[in-house]
Amino acid sequence: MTAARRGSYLLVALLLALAMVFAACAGDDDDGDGGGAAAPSESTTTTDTTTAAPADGDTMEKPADAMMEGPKPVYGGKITFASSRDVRSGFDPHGTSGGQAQHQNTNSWWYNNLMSRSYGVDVEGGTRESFPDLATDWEVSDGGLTYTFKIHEGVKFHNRAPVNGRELTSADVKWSYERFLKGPDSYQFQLADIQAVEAPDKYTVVFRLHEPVASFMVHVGEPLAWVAPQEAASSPPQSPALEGVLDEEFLSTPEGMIGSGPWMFETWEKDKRMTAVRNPDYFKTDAHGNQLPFIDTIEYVVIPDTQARSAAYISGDIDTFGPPSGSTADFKERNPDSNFAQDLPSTAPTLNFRLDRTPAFNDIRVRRAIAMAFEQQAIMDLLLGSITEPTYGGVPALVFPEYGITAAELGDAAQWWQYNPQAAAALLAEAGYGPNNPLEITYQFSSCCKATYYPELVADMMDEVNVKMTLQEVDHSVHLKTSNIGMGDYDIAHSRLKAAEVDDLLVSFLPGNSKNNSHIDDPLLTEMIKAQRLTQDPNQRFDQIRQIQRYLAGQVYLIRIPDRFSDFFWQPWIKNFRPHVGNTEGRDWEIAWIEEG
Amino acid sequence: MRTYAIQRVLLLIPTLLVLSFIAFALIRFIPGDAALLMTEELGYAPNLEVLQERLGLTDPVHIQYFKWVGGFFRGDFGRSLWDGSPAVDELVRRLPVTLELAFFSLFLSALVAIPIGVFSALKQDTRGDYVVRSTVVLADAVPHFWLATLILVLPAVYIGWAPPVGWHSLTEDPVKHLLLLLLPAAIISVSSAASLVRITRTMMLEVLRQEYIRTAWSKGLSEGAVMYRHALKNALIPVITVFGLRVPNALNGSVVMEAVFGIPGLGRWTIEAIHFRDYPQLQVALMFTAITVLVANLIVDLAYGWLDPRVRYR
Repeated sequence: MTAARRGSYLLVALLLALAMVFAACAGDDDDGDGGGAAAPSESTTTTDTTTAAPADGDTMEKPADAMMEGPKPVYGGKITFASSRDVRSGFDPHGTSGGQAQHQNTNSWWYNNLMSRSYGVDVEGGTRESFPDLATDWEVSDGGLTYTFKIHEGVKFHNRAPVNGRELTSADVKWSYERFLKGPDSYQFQLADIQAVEAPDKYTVVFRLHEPVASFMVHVGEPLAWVAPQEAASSPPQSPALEGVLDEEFLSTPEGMIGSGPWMFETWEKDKRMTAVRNPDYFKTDAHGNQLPFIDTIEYVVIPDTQARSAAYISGDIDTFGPPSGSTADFKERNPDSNFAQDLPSTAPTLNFRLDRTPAFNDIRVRRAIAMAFEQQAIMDLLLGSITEPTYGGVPALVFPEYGITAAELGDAAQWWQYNPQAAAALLAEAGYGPNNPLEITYQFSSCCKATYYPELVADMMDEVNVKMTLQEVDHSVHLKTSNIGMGDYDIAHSRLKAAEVDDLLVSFLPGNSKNNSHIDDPLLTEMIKAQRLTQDPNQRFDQIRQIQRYLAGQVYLIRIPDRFSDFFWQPWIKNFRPHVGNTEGRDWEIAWIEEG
Repeated sequence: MRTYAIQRVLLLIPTLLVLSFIAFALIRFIPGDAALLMTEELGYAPNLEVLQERLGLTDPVHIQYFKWVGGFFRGDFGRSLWDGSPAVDELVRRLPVTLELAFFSLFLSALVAIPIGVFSALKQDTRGDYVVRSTVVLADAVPHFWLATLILVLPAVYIGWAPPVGWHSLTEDPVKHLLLLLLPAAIISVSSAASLVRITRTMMLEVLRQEYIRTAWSKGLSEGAVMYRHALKNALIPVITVFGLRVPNALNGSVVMEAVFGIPGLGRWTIEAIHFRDYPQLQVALMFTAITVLVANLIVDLAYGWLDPRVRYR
């Protein structure tokens, strides 16, 4: 080969390489986290109607439905979402709230509940109140031990066999709640305070509670005990996992998804798509008396890849997208016509200290030193783009802003949450750990759930104060078997706790609670947490929770890690729509319409 | 030839037995099982031990293996641990999709690579040859997933176009079906085509130096007759070998492409089976993929005899 030929050969190769690099740089910089269906998949939102803890004897009326101002609604059209994964283990509405996101979302297409999480175009993300769904009004009596709900008259199930459009009554509500409480759902604990469900007449449902818990009205609005027809009871279920547990096969099948909701099941092609059509007999109307829903067809298509979903959204093939795997600001800039909404996260990422296993953690100085060495601002700047807030105590401000506490409000405990590696090292030295005798601990985390963002950064922070962390990444199923339940061979672990009500986070500090991954057993704290559960007065409860927050900030039993907001985008032709996280997308969509052009 | 073919088919049996053991054992090395996922993550059952027993996960491993292999020979390929459906039903639905994608990609790679390889050989050491060789190096180095992401994202960002959403079968919508397959097949075919271009070029150059080619020229045959009747047919024998070896690559490539383009094929099904520890589903997927590759290799071996009369099977 001559020098000239060799040169031209290299030139061609160089030009091609440059072209590829240019193409790479021009691309969307989303880096793909592999998760996140287009539709909201998990967490909590709120409404603007009922309070979390109504006082004894209060009667609350149903508020107006969606606000309908501006252009006249348009009937017809089709909405398409993308889901990263399809339903995997049947469609039983009462067995799987802990997992299959897509199943949870579609439940709200066909089913209603007594109450719902928030929905409506004017309801901001993060509102944490229940909104009436099947219920019209309700009353609290017996000092918060009895809740009596009146339900809509004339609500009809879908006109499909074997139910054939018969009226939904309180007996169906009772049957559904009892079935949910009998089942295996991992979020059953949220309704575990129900002692009995009664249906004294066709349109009245009475809940009798073991204890007058303040959180009941929020939990009854959770997407858990969807109201299904009793006719579903028949033979064993399709999934072997539910045999002998929930014995209704029909409810596990697509054809069994017969509820009273705004859309009716039409087709399901596994790993391809699911389609639903408008329920012409839906019992709701909007504020102007227009029959809901407006949209004729609603469907999801399965697109596992985040970038493919992003491309499908940008090209207009799907109608919603989010959260983007990369920068939200960047995605907004690239899609200026898109609608955008932000919601609070509903999970609290946590660093759990193993108080039961690692003697060092029973020394409060060690826990406080680790908190002082934990630079929250670095995590926010480097990993979350500063679009979040620091978190102190047991209740993150980003998850429950109303109970979040600022550093200034912590009092003496504030010092443990200010980044100060020198003071942390000094405190550790007092506890007997120094450069020649570092504290050696194992930090276990799973590759799932974004936990991999944090460990290296945390290990670097700890290294500065003579805490040597051995990072131990485990398969997600190992994580579920060990660090997710506070067991196994490690000292500190990353976990993530889902919460609809502040009590869901606080009960995780109680001894014996399955989510108490740090194995905390503090009698004073236990007493404080149990007291707030039973406090009906919101103001008094607020004060109690703030007191718990300050106490937890001083004790540093665990460290809550800052998290990011949930971001949603939807196409400009969709009107009267505002998504909310929480697996109740059917409520958000039932008031929306599509405006062509 | 017939004896050779029968011997090769019989040899598949011990090969498949070894493969069955590997397919069975590998997934069990990964910690955790479906029952654990159901109870801890999905809240799907109240008691781990009861559920493990019900799903047959508490039997000794060798018993589980013999039960599965026994079932396999009886035509019972097991049921999904998650939804109880026969694993083979889903396989039958998905295998054609993956095979179609794999063979479409191989077809595209052959369609593009062989003419380019011949061109490159005929234009040896010209600018055209250098361009081909540089491009081939680059094509071989580019990862499928990266190329797929670029091809998905760039048109969406700059011209607002993306491949059709959701899967459409051939009978349902032939145009969308072909559009959906074309891009992933083309992406998978890039590296296969690169290998084929190289081997085609090399073999053509070698054949062109043979004496019988010189004889053909001296007989006054046309360039087309020399190149395509005498040179190309002989040059293609090793190309066919490489082509056969690309079958597993095409199947592997389809795993990634199915995930990126949302194609409901065997690859995605396999990944999900691993993720959810659905042992019967994974075992069936691995076994049928292995059978496909073995059969493809067998066909390639048998094709030698047809392509090259000098090859004799014993």
